[in-house]
Amino acid sequence: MSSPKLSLVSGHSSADSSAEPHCIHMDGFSAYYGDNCIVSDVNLRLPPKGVTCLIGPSGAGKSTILRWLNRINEESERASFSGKIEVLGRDVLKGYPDVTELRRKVGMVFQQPCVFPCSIYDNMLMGLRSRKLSKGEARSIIEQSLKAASLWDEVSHRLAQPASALSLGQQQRLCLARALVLEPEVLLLDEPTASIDPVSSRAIEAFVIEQGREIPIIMVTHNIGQAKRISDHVIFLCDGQIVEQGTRAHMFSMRSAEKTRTYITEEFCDC
Amino acid sequence: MSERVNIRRVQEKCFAFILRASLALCGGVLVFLLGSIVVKGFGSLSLDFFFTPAKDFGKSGGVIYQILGSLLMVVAAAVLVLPLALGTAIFQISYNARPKIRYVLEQSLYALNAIPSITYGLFGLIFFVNVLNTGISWFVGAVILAIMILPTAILSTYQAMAAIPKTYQENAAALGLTKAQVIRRVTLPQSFHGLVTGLLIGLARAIGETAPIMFIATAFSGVTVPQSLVEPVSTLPTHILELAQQSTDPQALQNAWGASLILVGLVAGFSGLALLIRSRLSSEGRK
Repeated sequence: MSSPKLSLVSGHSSADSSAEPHCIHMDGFSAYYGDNCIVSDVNLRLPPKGVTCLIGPSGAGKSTILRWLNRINEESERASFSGKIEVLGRDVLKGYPDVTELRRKVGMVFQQPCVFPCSIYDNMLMGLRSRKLSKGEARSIIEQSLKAASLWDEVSHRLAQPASALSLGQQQRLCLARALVLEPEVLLLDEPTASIDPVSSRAIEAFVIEQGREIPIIMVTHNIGQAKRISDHVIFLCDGQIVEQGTRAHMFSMRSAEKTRTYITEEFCDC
Repeated sequence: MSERVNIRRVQEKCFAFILRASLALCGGVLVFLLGSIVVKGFGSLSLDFFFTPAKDFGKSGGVIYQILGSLLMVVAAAVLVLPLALGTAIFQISYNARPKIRYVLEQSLYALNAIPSITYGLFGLIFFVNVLNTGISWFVGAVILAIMILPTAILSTYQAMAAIPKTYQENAAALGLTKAQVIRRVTLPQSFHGLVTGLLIGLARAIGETAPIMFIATAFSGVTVPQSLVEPVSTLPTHILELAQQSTDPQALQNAWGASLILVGLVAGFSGLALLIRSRLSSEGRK
């Protein structure tokens, strides 16, 4: 099955408008792990702002797509891909000979909160070390990022304490804030609310909606309700291929493809 | 049904008895050995024994130069091992991209770890003393001890690094950190306890070794603090060996027990330090 080549460049339309700028452009993208093809012949264009949710059953290839956008999959020895990926108008391989430049532009937060074994402040400082900032500038960026992640009020009085002392929900918000200090031009979120409490989930959803107004956010989620709440665009994947993609209004309406409707309905029922 | 339950209870009791007996046997041997050394060696210990040089082939005097010789060699070995172990473990974890070569290297380290210490001594004798013509040198002894404990230190560091969840590396890489920065900021702080533990366990083994250094680094009598790299030293194990060869003399035997007690104390000190540092650094790494 080949994926439909739809563009998502306008906020609520699924019409093709390739003249508009894209933050992400995939053409004939296939991803492999060893000899296994995980994602096959994916074509997509993502707009320069807004929240795009990747939904689909486990093993559909959502995280694989996400993990090639900042080449974090390169860390796996057997992972490879074919086809074309452009990020912010540059080829993801040739356009970014220094992969760290790509990763500073394309921030990522993973499913499991992962704080480094140091203080909250040092966690936030981790990504800033390559930038020559004064202490005051660094502190200001860190404060803004923590505020954006709704964490400042909870940690401002204990920035020197170990980050591992935070709750899981707080840790995940710290990860979001830590990604934000780099002032990324694209943000990738791989099921960021999968392992945390509902209160923190809501805080993260608010963060995603707010940040989505400024930069493109691509988020993998299994929570269909969440996708419905926060997405501007939705891409439905199954068995490594895009089944359908479109605006939120389209994807959650009766006009969507039967397979999409069935998946969305069953996921709702499972809840 | 109740018969089955009874059989299971008997089996449980038998199993528990076997485990307790194993523990008692091992513990008993250890207590007997250490107890013998403490009881027989304690009488020799005095400030004079610690701080005066040996006289009359060890029958009188103390063991100051033997203690200094042993410590000198293990400290030099530690200085040599530390960067090599760290570098090899980092290469294995972060730069060796070929799984087959990684596997072969790892298995080679296990094999090296199992080589009898006399083999290292013979290698030192042939290569350094005969081929390179270094003569009897404490530094050559330290190099041989370093080679001997290197696999232990590498494997301990490597295992500590391999135990770090991959998600840490991924998260650091996703923040735009270079490979070197990931190693410095993430890998090293969380695996340093492994390096220290491996090093200290290796040193605890090295300080008690006689065979690898007997032919290449030590003299049995008449040595003081070496003034250059190519002078011999006397160490506690070789001193004990020398005294044991004169065991018909009660004073020599008594001093042998005393020197053994000091040696056991040094080994226990290194092992205890390894445990302490491991627990401290591990808990810091988890913070």
